[in-house]
Amino acid sequence: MVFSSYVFILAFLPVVLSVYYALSRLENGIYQRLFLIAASFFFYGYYNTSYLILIIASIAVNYGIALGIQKSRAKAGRLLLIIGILFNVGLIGYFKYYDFFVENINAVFGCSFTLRHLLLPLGISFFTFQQLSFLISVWHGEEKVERFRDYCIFVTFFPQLVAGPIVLYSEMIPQFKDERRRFFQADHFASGIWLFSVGLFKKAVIADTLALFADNGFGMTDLSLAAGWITALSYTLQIYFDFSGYSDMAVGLGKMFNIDIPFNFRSPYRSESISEFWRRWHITLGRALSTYVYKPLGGNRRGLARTCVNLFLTFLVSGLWHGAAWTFILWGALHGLFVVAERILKQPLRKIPKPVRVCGTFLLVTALWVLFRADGFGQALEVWRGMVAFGNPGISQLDTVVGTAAYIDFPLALDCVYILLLEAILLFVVFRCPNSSDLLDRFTPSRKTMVAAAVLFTVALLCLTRESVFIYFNF
Amino acid sequence: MKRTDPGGSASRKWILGFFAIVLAAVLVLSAAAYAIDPFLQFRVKDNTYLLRGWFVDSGLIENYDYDTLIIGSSMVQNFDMELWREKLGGKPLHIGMGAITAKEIGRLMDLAYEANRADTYYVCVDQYLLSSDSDVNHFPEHLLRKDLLSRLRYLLSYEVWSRYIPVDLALVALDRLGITLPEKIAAKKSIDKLGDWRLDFPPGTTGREAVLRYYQKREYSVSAVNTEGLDQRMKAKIDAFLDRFSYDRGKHVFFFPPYSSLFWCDARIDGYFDAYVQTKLYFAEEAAKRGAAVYDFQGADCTLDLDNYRDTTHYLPVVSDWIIGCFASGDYLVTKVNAASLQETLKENTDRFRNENADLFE
Repeated sequence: MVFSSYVFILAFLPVVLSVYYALSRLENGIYQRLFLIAASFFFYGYYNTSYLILIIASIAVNYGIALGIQKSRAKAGRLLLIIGILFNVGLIGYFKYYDFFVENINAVFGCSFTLRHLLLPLGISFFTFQQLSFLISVWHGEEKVERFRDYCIFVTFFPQLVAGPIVLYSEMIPQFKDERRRFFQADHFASGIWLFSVGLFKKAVIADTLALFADNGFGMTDLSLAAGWITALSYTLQIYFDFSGYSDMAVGLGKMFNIDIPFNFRSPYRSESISEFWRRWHITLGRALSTYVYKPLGGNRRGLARTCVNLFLTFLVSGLWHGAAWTFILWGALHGLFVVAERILKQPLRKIPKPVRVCGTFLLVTALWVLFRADGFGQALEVWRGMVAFGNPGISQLDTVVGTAAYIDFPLALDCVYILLLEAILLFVVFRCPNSSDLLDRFTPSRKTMVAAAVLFTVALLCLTRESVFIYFNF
Repeated sequence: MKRTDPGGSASRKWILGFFAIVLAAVLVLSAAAYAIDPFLQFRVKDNTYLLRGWFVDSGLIENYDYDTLIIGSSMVQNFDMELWREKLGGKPLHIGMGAITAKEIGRLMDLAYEANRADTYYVCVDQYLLSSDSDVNHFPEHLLRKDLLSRLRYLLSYEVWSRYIPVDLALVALDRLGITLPEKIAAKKSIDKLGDWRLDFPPGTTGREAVLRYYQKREYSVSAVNTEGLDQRMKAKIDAFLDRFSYDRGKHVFFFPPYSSLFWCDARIDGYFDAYVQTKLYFAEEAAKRGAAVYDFQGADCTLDLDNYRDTTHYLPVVSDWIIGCFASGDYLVTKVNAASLQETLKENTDRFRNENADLFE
């Protein structure tokens, strides 16, 4: 089930919230948690029940291993940890990377192993990574394994189940066990609605509109300068509004249940460097990669050269985590290279004026998103070629990028004004307006926020007829 | 330990106010969309709004006053309804959608039978309907259903509010101000001209020279046809296609549109000419068994002259007018007597065109 759908907003969520708070009348909070687990499984298996078996098996095996690690002595615990890592890596490897691996084997060695075309289970990268990090934390003694139902709710809590934020056991379970959080709290609920409305608007109205431009642009060949830049910019804005919109909705839903879920974005496009970008973009993934990949590799403790290698490897893993394709790997590698370069050139880069650094970082990130979005290197090259096609300004191609001809054939001038104005406004929002975290901090239950939330929610509701999936569901 | 809400009444009022505003907004928007009704789902308004087949076809079928329904692909979009009224009489409605699929024709026919307004149905049978491997519905599902939720979805839909109502209201305002719109835009508001593409192709963009230009650049070219087991697959599809119609609900007339001879030459080169021709005979036999009439214009002389075309398949209004004349006169009606000879003529025309334009195929 997706958040931005009628079935979720008008049926699932109201029913789940009503029953959840009705159950708070019972003396024991266990029933509420059990109900949330059941609702989360329903949420997960709504489109494909076969996913359920996989996630239940994954939860059961990981819980068993975590329990084993906790109870075992060092040697046996280490063995169980290795089994746990292999199990999780194997699971994600089989479902996500099997075809990629076989394709490359076939290409390099001229073999003809059969591809399986496996359906990628929803959010497998997220719940596998979350559980893997839990096992490692248990091994380090940082987390304690408790009851199975607590572990279940840690993994399955539907607001963060399929696309994060990637949360820690220690930041979630104490909240579920906090007696005060069991009961309806209007202030939390109101702020949850506020943030959910903002996120829904970002996703259903902004991101899905930009998706049309990006899809049209990436489908074109021989792009002009204007089309190349508008295509790249559209995707840059789309992925931000899509994923941050999803995360806002997740945080907002958490608030409705009195659960604080960490924010995943803090105005990433205002970053002065790629390193800073990764501290503001998909923050919980960065935190997990830093803890479970970068630091175990040695982090920055073994000199500059080793630090650079560790950074690069961490970004390579990030690229591979995002998708089973060479474009993702190269995307991760390039981000890694830029982060390494920034580390080496720290002093000279500081001398560059801040606006230039911000602008440069944004352009670099935009150019790299092209690789992330493209079906292959050929498509990425098409867009990149357009971005440097200075001899071919080609404003007329914007008509194709806007792509309204299929509905209403507006004149070219109108299409140009529409798309340029829209992207200018969105860039202003991205660079100058408060982000969702700021909006939540400043939230007060005033008439102004009430009307604003209702307008955002209603407009988003109108846009839901063009239902779409979230970009990060595929990861 | 039960906890009292520290945000108390302000937050509670905020939540109630939020839902009240959303509910009020939804009601007002629904009422406004119902009153404006840009996709003609509740009532018909001719020459008022911008009409797009995807969105208005179902509403027209349900609400327009007609007794003859003409349905098909872009091959019927240029049919002149005035000429139809003059030559065939009655109250025609033509529903043409570019690249319409068999499934879509079936869904629209279901709506037509339910509306029970027509006693005659003309259905254009493009061969791709019977040869294509895919058969999907592109019409918004909620516009094909008439239940309350689908109606609500229409009233609150993205296309209605973000695309059409703003434009439609602007058009109404311009009309009230007495501002005359360009012919091309005005035509897009006419039900009689629904989907009509003649104004999109001004002089110089049609005729032999243009057709050959597009042909050489592979623009407006037809999709590739999978020739494997084509004959059998088409026969199976013909059975399924013909079974979609309820022949007791009125007179059913199928017709094969007159593609240019250049198309047929390509069909020969690409290996699907024979299957297309043979299955037409099967189609005519099966349609006759069901009491339906079939016209086959594919061997007509007009197919030899590329000046009658926009590309290899799309003919110009002059041919559309001629087809209407044939419906009135009965010319090219397939009978047991002429069925085979019509296909022979098609083969001869294709040979003749190929010989006269040998340079095109070198």
